[in-house]
Parts: sequence; C-alpha cells; structure tokens
Amino acid sequence: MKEFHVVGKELSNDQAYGKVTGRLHYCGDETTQGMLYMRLKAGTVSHGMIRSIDISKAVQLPGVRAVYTCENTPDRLYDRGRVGPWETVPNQERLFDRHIRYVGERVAAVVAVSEEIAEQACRLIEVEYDPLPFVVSVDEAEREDAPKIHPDGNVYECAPFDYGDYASVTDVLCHSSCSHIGRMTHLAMETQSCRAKYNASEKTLTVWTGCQSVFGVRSTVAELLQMPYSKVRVVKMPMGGSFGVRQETLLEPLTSYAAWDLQGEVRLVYTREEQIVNTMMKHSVDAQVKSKVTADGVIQGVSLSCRLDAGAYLTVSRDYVSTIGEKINKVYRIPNIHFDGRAVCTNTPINGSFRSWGSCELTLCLENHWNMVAGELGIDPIEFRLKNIHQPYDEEVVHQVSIGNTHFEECLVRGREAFRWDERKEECRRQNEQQRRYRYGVGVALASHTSSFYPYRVDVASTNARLQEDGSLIVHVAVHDHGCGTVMALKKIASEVTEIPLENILLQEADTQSCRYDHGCYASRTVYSLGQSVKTCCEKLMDQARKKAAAALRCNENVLHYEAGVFFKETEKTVRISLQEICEYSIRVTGEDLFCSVTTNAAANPGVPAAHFTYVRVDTYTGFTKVLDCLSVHDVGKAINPDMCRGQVGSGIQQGIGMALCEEIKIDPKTGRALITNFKNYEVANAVDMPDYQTILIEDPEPNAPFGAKSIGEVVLAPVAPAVVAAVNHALGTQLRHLPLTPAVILEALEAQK
Amino acid sequence: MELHFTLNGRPETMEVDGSKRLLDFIRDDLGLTGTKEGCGEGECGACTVMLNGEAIHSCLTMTGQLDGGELWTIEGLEQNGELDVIQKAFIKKSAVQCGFCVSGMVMSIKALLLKNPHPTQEEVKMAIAGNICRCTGYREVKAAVQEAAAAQSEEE
Ligand code: FES
Ligand code: FES
Repeated sequence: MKEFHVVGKELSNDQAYGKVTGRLHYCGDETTQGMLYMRLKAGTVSHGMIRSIDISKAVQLPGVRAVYTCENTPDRLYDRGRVGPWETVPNQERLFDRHIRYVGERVAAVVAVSEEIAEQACRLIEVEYDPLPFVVSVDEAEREDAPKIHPDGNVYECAPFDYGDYASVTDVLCHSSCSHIGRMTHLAMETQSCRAKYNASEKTLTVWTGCQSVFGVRSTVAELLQMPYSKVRVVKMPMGGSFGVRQETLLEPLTSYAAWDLQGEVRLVYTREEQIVNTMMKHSVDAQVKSKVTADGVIQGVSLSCRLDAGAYLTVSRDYVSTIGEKINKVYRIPNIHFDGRAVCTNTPINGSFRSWGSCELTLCLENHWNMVAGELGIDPIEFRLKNIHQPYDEEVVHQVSIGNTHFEECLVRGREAFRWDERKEECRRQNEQQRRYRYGVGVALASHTSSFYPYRVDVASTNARLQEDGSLIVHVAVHDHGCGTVMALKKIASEVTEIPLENILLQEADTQSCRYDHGCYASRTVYSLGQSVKTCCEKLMDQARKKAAAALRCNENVLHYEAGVFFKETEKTVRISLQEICEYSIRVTGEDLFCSVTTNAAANPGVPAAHFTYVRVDTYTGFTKVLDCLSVHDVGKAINPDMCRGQVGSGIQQGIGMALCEEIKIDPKTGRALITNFKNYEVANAVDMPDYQTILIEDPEPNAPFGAKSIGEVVLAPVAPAVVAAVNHALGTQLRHLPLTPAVILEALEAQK
Repeated sequence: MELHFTLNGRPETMEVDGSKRLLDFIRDDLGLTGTKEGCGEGECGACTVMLNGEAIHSCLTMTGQLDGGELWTIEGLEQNGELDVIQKAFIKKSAVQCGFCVSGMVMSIKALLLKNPHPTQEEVKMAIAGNICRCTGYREVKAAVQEAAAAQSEEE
C-alpha cells in the first residue's frame, strides 16, 4: 500500500493547543466593548394565548436596552430546519408568538448591558395567558377530537414506501415486535451561544455561531431581516460538541434581530436548562416491526411502521421520519419492504435533529427485531446476520444506488473473533445456569449510515485554494468542525496532495464571506464530500503549478518530478524550481495568480458498516445493568484521523449505552413539561461508569473517495443501544424493547417472570 | 471587599464583590475564559479550577473564598512557552475533541497528580468522575493521565 505523508497519522486535532491551554475562544467566550447581553423569559403554560404582556417595569430597569415580545417584533414565519430558500418547510415559528405551545417556550427577551440585568428584567415582565386545551401524549394528539396545536392539525404523515410486495409473501414465519426509544438531550458540553453585530454605516450584519450550516443560518436570518444575503455574514465558531443540536437555526434569528434593531452587538448564551428545553430533544419513537423469514433464517420481507413525537412544532420531524424509511435497506438484502411513518405534534418541548438522523432509531428497531427473530429461530444472531447482509456494491432498493465497497461480513466475522463471541456466549450460559444474583449476556447489532447527500439531494462541495507568495497555501472550504477533527482531516488531504507541510496550510472553518456555497456539515458528509472537493482542487492547483514550472524551466512538464515543494528534472536534479519560485514566476512573468476553484458533486453514497458487540452483567437485586466490555468494528474505507475515529467510537458508545439504559428526559404527563431540566438529574456515563472498549477499523479504500475515506461520526452511535438491549435480554431471557432499560424496568420484568 | 490571592503564581489584590460566583469572577473580571460553564450546578466539571491545591467547581464557589488563597486556572499551566506535562499528554494521546471539557479535566488531573503522582487506573477514574465528556468516551483521557504521570516522574 502507498505510504502516506500525513493521511492516517495521529495528532489529528487542529486546535488541540488552543483547547488544552484555554486559549481557543468559543462563541460565548468573546466579549467586546459595548456588547449587549440577551436573556429570555420562558412561558409557563402548556398551551394558550398571551392575553397581555406587561414590560413596563422591565424597560425601566437601568441598563436595559430593549425588551422584545410578540407585540413589538415582526410577525414573520421562519423555519429552523431550512437551509436554502428553495426548500418547502413547515415554517411554523416566529421570533415570538402570541400562541404558546409548550411549557418553557420563550415569551420575551431582554437585552441589557449585562446578563444579570437582563435576567432581572425578565423577572419583571408580567404575562397573562388564556389557556387552551392541550395534549401531552402522542396517543391523545392523534385522536380526531384532539385540540389542534397548529391549524393543519397534529398528525403529519410521510409518504409510505413499498418495494416488492410485503403482503403477498407467504410460506414463511411471521414475527412482530415493538420498540420504544425515549427522549434524550444531546448534552453537548457547551450550551448554545450566538453573537451578532450590526454595522450601521455599512448596513452589514455579522453573526458568529457554532453552527453546522453558515449558509443555512444566513438564509434564514437575511430573509427574516429582509436584508440581501450579501450583507449578512455568518462565521462558524468553534463548538463544544453538537451531536445534532447545532444543526438547526435556533438562536441566530433572535440574536440577529436584536443586533439589527439596536444597531449594535448582542450575545445570547443558553443556560443548561434552556439548552435542554429550548433547543430540541431526541425524538421519542414508537415502532412496530413485522417480518417474514424462512425457517432457516433468510429474510423475505420486512415492514416498519413508526411514529415520532415531534413536540410542539413540526420543524424537521416529518423529514426525520422519511429519512428513517430511506435508510431501511442499507444493511440487509430484503426482497420485500414496506415502510410508513408519521410525526405527531404534542404540547411538549420540540424534538429534532440528533446524531445519525434516523440511523440510530432505525437500527434500534430493526436490530431489536432481528435479535428476537434469531432467538425464535434458534439461530445465533451473528449467523443470522451473515445469511442476510448486503455484499459489497449491492444496490440498496430505496434510491437504487450502490452501497459501495462495504464489508458487513468482515465487520461481523472479525468482531466475532476479537470479541470471543462464541466462548463468551457459552460462558454466559454457564454463569446463568445457577440463576444467581448476577446474570450475564452478550449482544450484537449491525448498522450503516451515509457518507454524502447523494442522491437525497445534489451534493455540492466547493473549495478555493491559492498558493501564497512564499509557497504556503490557503484553502477555503465551508467546513464546520464539530470538535472531532474534520478541519485537520481536510488539511491532511490538502497536505497529502500538495506536499506542503501542515503547518504551512491555513484552512479555516466556514464563513459565508470567504467560502463558496455549501449546504452544511451533516449526514456525515464532511470527509467524503468536502474532502473530495479539497483533494480535487489541490490536484488541479498542482497541475497548474507543474505547467508553470515547466514554462519557467523551459522543459516538458512530463519530465518533471515533484517532491516536498520542489519540481525537478529526474535526469538533471539541479534543474529545479520551488513552489515559492513558481509563484513569483507566475505573478511577475506570466502575470497570473496561482489559484484554483473547484466544485465537486458526490455521485455516490457509500455505506459505513458498523458492528457492535457487548457483554453485560445485570444485577437481579437492583435491576442495574453494567456493560463489562464492548467492541465496535467500523468499516471506514480509510481513517484519515485514526485517533479521532477511535475517540468518536468512545462517544458513540457512551451515548448508545445511555440510550439503552439510562438517558431519558421524561415528560410530565399532566402538563407536558420536561421533568429533567438540569445536568444533575440526567444520567450520563462518567469516567467510572464507562466500560472498557475496543475498536477495530477496517480500511479498504472506497473508490472515488479522498484517499478511500468514507465516514464515521454518526454511525458510531447506531449499533450500540440495540446490542446492549440484546445483551440484557440474553442475560435475563426477557424481550425488553421499551427503552431505556432502567433498573425499575428490569426489576419489573423480573417480577413478571416469576 | 478587598481580595488578596495569587493567580497562576502571581500575587494579586483586587476590589471585588465577594458573593459573586468564582466562575464569573474568573471569566468576566479576570478575563480568563479557559474556564468553562457547562451546567452551573456542580455536575459537569467544566468549570474546575485549582484552589489551594484542590480541584473545585468554580460555579459553586464564592469569590470571597479565594481570599488569601492560591488559584490556578488552565491559563497558568503553560510556563515560559512550555506546556504542562498533562497538556502535552492530552495532545499526544488525542484526548481532545471539542475541547469544552478539557480545561476542567486538565485541572482535576493537575490536582490529582500533585497529591498522588502515581495514581492507579481506579484513582484516575475517580479523580475525573466529576468531569463529564461527551466526545471521547474517556479512554484517551485516562491514557493521557498515565502518560502525564510517567512523564512527570521521568522529569523528577
Ligand atoms: S459549570 Fe461548574 S460543574 Fe458544571
Ligand atoms: S472533548 Fe468534547 S466534551 Fe470532552
């Protein structure tokens, strides 16, 4: 295999120095002279109309600059999930709405010279409501006579999908299972923050935000303020984790509005409570899976119906449901498929984007099901999967595109061996024979995910690269690093191609002013799509440099070799020219700048097989489950940043275990209020709770990918929870699929077994 | 109140409101924004600083408690352009992703290694149990602590 200079090497965090020294500024770390601070006031009713809102005391408080409510802000609708103006979206939100749809929804904002004063002024605002009937549970919300949260009702169906004819499959065994996933908070360690500054003399607005789509934010903000896009600049700031919570446009419209209105600079930083209640949560999902499988374990058909609780506003939820359906055929060969789903609005906090956008939900429901089926057929769950998985380059049937160079089989087989699956399974059987206090189980699950937008939408990725006069390089590409090293991945790609050392390359994050259009960094497309654009751009730039070198050296470009910043003649090594000299020649002799601008469109969407194996111990006295050991196997094509890939696996495991066993935001059935609004009561694995884990990265380069790389950031989560669920069920002989499997749930199941 | 303390090794005297949260004093008055706020209630560890050799949550501490004390924040660890062994180990072991937990994590470990230069795996886990990280799964962090401990004992 070709030796790479930087691709595949470690030390992959571009900002590691700034992060370990505290020198790196996140959005909420910046203060400037004259900056104003915003705080929000939360509503207190589940559903109602604001009858009156008295801000007189608040505006009089010294230091207050403005108080905003539904009575003095524009009555314009916008959509947090929208990226481009051409999208059809629900458009249900306003800066402030007289109609309040969940407890905690913002009803007013105060801008003041300090956060304390703004906070104090919020408390002086008096709001009176005319309550409306409300619905908390999805079941209630779906009823004909349920109170309507939006004029078009509460239920939003998505178009069903059929392939083959599920109903007509006969002579096989039918199975049915239901799974439930609870609401979660992303728990990115940094809460959301945004700064916006209006420059009255230029009539320009600049917005700094740790977002995933600067162009999406710009589009929404510019239209809300009725400003030309060209006069609104959005700059991506370092973010303290996303996991999906920074995908949607949340704080930017209001912060920008205030900056524009006050012709100044305004900052809004969420508290943890606002972060939990006023961003979005992970959807709670109910799904029913039915399947038809031959007695020897070959899947003939699957049918999945799912229902997502959207919360008080639809936002992205209907798309989320359809995405679950669109991903249904990424792992197994299934000749007959049915999918239907719907999103239902309730008077509860909004649910929305979460890491993997449907892959973790889909995987949980399907893998729970296949683990059950394998058990019912008496087939080992790995053997069952081996009979049904996609082979490399199979076509998935929803979009009829190739799944690429994917290795599901290798993931399972290597994982089985490394995890000592068969021995461990046998050990569990022996350990459990005595029916003692602790029961042991193993579980496995398999998943995949995307690497680009193709063919869901046209994938557009653009790079500009310009060689500087000293031979160093500036690259512009609209990358949004979530903190997991994508800037470095792209930089390594640029360095690998140009052989310009990493320290001489400047590649900053997305900025609408210096970067060309990009939809945003989600769907795990950054390395595959943006990386390919960077690679192509740098290759073209080097072609130009080669031509210039040949002209300067008066030779044919074919005789030139290139190494570490110098073109030279193989036969006559003294005939040589460096990038710096080429740049000088280009500018001073030929009168041209050495730059290149490239747009690439990913024309494939390779899958990223991921298998997770886990070994758990369940305490039958306390109902507490401990994950003792686990292994994730990932087919990534090529790990550009192997250390960051492994690091991300750890975070996927933490989140997946949380999803399976303990993380849940419960909703008060009487009011729809979130019952957990702080860190304290949210159960998340700390360094003591986290099990040991192993990672295997399978690297067989994907064609037409940057050095073979696909994706990893989201798929790491997908197989974890269903593997843990399977292990618990294996340990206890239960069929639990209503997550999370908290001690109370387990004790109840054990009670029922008696 | 008039506050006397040492900040990252340097004596300081300042007029402050002693009832202010130490976290706000550090970030707003001292302008040291390396110390982060993740929860404001002593649960996430992002705001960890070292006061008199102990790792503490600055979000639960009042500024007045600083009087006569010795405060170290993340900004003080790099000395004469050289990173602390813990910072070096975090970089070397790729224990840094989004970085938001990192300053607090590093300060917890600083306090640990001061008291216990050769911690066991269990002691390491306990020392950072109050520092939540959502990005790494802690494995690289634990490895970084062992690396730092080894580097530190080599230096001695
Ligand atoms: S901010 Fe102090 S512990 Fe979270
Ligand atoms: S590195 Fe992101 S929270 Fe720890």
